[in-house]
Amino acid sequence: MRHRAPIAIGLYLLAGCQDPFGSDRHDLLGDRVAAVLASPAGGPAGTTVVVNAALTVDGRLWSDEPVDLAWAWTDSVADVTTLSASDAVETGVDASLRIPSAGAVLGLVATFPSGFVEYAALEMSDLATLPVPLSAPLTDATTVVRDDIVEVDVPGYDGRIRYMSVGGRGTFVETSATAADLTIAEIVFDDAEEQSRTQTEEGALTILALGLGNGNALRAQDLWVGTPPPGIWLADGRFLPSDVDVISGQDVRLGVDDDASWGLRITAVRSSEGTDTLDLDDVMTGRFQRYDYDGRWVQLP
Amino acid sequence: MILLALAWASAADLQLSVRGTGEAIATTPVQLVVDGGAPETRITDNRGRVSVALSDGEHTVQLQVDDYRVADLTLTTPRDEVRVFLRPAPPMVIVVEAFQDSPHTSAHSVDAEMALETPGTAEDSFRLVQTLPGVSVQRELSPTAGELAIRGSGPGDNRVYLDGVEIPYLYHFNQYASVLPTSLIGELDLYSSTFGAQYGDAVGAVIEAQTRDEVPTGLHGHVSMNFFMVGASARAPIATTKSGAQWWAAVAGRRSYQDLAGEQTAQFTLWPRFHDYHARLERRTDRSRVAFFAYGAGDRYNRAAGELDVLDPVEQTETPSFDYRRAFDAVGALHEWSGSGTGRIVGALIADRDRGELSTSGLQVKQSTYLSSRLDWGTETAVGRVSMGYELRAERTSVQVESAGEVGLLVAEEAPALARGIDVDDTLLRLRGGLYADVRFDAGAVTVIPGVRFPVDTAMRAQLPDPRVAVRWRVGDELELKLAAGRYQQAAETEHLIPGTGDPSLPVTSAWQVAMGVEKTVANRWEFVLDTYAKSLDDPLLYPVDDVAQVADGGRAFGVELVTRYRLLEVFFLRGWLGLSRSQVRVNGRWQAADGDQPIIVGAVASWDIGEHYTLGVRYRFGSGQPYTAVGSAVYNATDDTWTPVAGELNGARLPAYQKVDLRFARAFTFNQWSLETAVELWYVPKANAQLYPTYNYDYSEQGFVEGPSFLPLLSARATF
Repeated sequence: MRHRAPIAIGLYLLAGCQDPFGSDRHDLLGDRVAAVLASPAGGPAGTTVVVNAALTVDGRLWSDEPVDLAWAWTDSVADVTTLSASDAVETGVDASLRIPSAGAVLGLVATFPSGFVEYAALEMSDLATLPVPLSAPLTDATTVVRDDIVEVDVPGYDGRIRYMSVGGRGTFVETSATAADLTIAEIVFDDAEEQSRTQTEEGALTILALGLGNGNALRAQDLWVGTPPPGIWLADGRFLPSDVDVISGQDVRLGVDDDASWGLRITAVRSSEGTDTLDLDDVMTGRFQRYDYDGRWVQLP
Repeated sequence: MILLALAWASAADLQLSVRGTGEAIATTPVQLVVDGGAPETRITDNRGRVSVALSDGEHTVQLQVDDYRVADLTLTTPRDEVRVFLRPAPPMVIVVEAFQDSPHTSAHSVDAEMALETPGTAEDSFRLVQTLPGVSVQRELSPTAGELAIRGSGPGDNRVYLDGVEIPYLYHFNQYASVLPTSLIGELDLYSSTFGAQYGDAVGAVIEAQTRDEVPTGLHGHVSMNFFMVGASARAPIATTKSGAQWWAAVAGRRSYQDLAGEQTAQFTLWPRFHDYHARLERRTDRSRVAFFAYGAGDRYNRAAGELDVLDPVEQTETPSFDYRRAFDAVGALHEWSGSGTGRIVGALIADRDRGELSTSGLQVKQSTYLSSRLDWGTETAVGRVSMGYELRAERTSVQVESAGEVGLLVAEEAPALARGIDVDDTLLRLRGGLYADVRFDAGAVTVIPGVRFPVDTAMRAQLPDPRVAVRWRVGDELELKLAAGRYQQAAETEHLIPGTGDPSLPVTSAWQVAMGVEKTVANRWEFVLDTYAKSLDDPLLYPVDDVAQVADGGRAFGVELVTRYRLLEVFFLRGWLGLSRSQVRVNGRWQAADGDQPIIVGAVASWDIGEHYTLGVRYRFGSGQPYTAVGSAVYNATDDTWTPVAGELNGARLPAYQKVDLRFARAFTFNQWSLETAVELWYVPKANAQLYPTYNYDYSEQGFVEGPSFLPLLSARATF
């Protein structure tokens, strides 16, 4: 039972209480806009800005159906909920927009395959310089065991990092502007005290680090709870299970796998033939749907 | 029963005092029977003394004084003065509130006895108002616990006066206790609606409290302590002039102590603390009363601007603290007189300060200084009793806001202007008030009191006069029919008229009100009252948390109240009521629940003094769930990874119904000079009704309720001397 400040005004010994909510801001559950990203950075009115959104669909980074994205300019964050389809100035991913005036708010109406609609906003007045890419790994660890506490960090980032876990696996406690402790267990806190702890099931645990400021930056990385199945850890910290032995730089054929972080697994391998390089960020931004990759050959980064 | 104590002075003087306080029984007839002889009646002097001529030797003396138990003494003379402490005897006075001769037809009264003995009111007269018919049932310890929503009106629609001076704010932290100590309050009247022309600038109700005006015969007072606060008061005569005028003084003060007893936390670096004080100097003659008074109150706390326990450690360290202070001080004078007419004139200078400051940046300061004055005068004329007077308030209000950005939303309850993100530095001078007159015509069993009030407000456009009328028809000894109607207007408070924190173009809210009722007694003691009422409002104001006041298209309220009362003074009182009502506002052409909408209200209070030492009381309250505006959706603000809530339909959701039972059991220990009453109160709120207010998860996709305690024992003690 979590104590609340307003009732504490009543009398601290008589503090009111409330059952804690089951999830917190670090949990990417259900359909959700996990981030809105602008790149290159905007600036004065007239500057063109390209925007994207990172999405989870039914608590996963991948989807078999596209999420409808409608972008429009508004005067305030709250006004985003009043947007309609006719207000959209651009739709889809990689939307290219021209900033109409200083201080404008870019609104996003994301309609998920389930019919759920989420509203998001990005204030363009904050875009002054290029977003800082989050290129370094969030942690050196790749595999963890239950109840492990893993420190994740983006050292040197000049801003706030927000950490999220796909499917709400693990529990984050942010300890500084760029670092957090990730406990490999689902913990419910009540009044800052641990109320319950559920062991995280074995399997992929994907964490997202959202760098705030200058249009935002995003990085995703996999951890494997327990012993990972055969597969490959890519250079950017992501794991693809594989039916065959494979190394970076090879062409691989992908198939669908609901248990994989990215919904994909490697089903075959061949020598590189100059195919497109796989960029898994395309999956979480909705640039491609999972079935777009089914049976397709790509080169591993 | 012999009650005596040896004292001082001459041989055959008896000094009569009240057991429990030591107060002299002054200028009172006393019947003496010496040695079984013939009764002899004497009058005590102003110190309670009476002389008895006795020869040397042992004598029996019987003393009989009205409203006191008979005392039998055995005296051996010669001896010094004997001090006799008489035990009060219940006077067996039946109190009937009905059939009052007043233009305020919808009235309820409470006094100190009821305040002290009604469970769940923390011995507070104003808290007791929340236990009166027509007053919405508020949830104990909720943020709205101190709000008074009466007959469908909103909390801001009422006016509260102490001896004719309006009080800036009524409750410490909008809950706990009122800012006026019960020890100095004599009686308190609630005029639920359709009040007379004497009062204005309110479309809701009027509460008028009167201070105790009886001259103390000696030094008397009290010391009290309950779970929230400690308090003390004292009243004492000072001097009697050659002309017979009596000077006396009274002081009272209270302070909360939880900030001293509890440990500071990161959430509350300064626990909520409050204090109030009251000092009076009065001069009393047969025909006049002059009082000089000073009173005030202060509230303060320092809290984190957010719920730290739901934040990550790094966010906790970045969360600013919010220092909030509210205080007022009043000083003034009052003159009441009687003769060919009766009147009251009062003037007071009041400074009201409201300040909230964030430790990072963000400040809201509202300072209001006003000179308040009112005159009420009445006299009998050939056509009937004529009453007239004025009420004026010259006010200077300044508002300073240094916006805080998004964090301002976290302190919107206390500092709403901070939540709007607009810098303000403005001052408004304002004169408002009104003139009124009414005439009472008696035509046999029918009394008609027409009146009119002329409102004045320099901040608003000219207002039309408010006509009002009250009619009473006495049908026999035990039945009265009553009808009242009138127009009522109320202008927005000054901060709502200053650009940035308000809107200078806000119109005056006006309301036509009508009330009809029947008052009936059974055997001239058991009262039944049936009241019906209706209100129709133009331009009612809505006060969204994140925006300036808005004007609704219209408003309406209607309801019926059934009340029963029975009271045997200082022995027993019972009050029960049932209220059915609706209160709505029309927004964008659609009728929606108003803030004060509580369709069903049920209440019952009873207290019984069992013998001399025990008091047992019970209170039950039931109220339909109040409406509230839930968060309808939220926008994910990707700039800082937060969610901005968007309000749903105005008052489109309701809290669950609320009910609460309070039991009070008190034990009095009476000594000659003082008495001690200890009390234990038990409150019970079924868990299904314990919800206080809604809360939301991080993205407002889930709603929960904060729940208050279901069962709670509270102790209190009160020493009176």
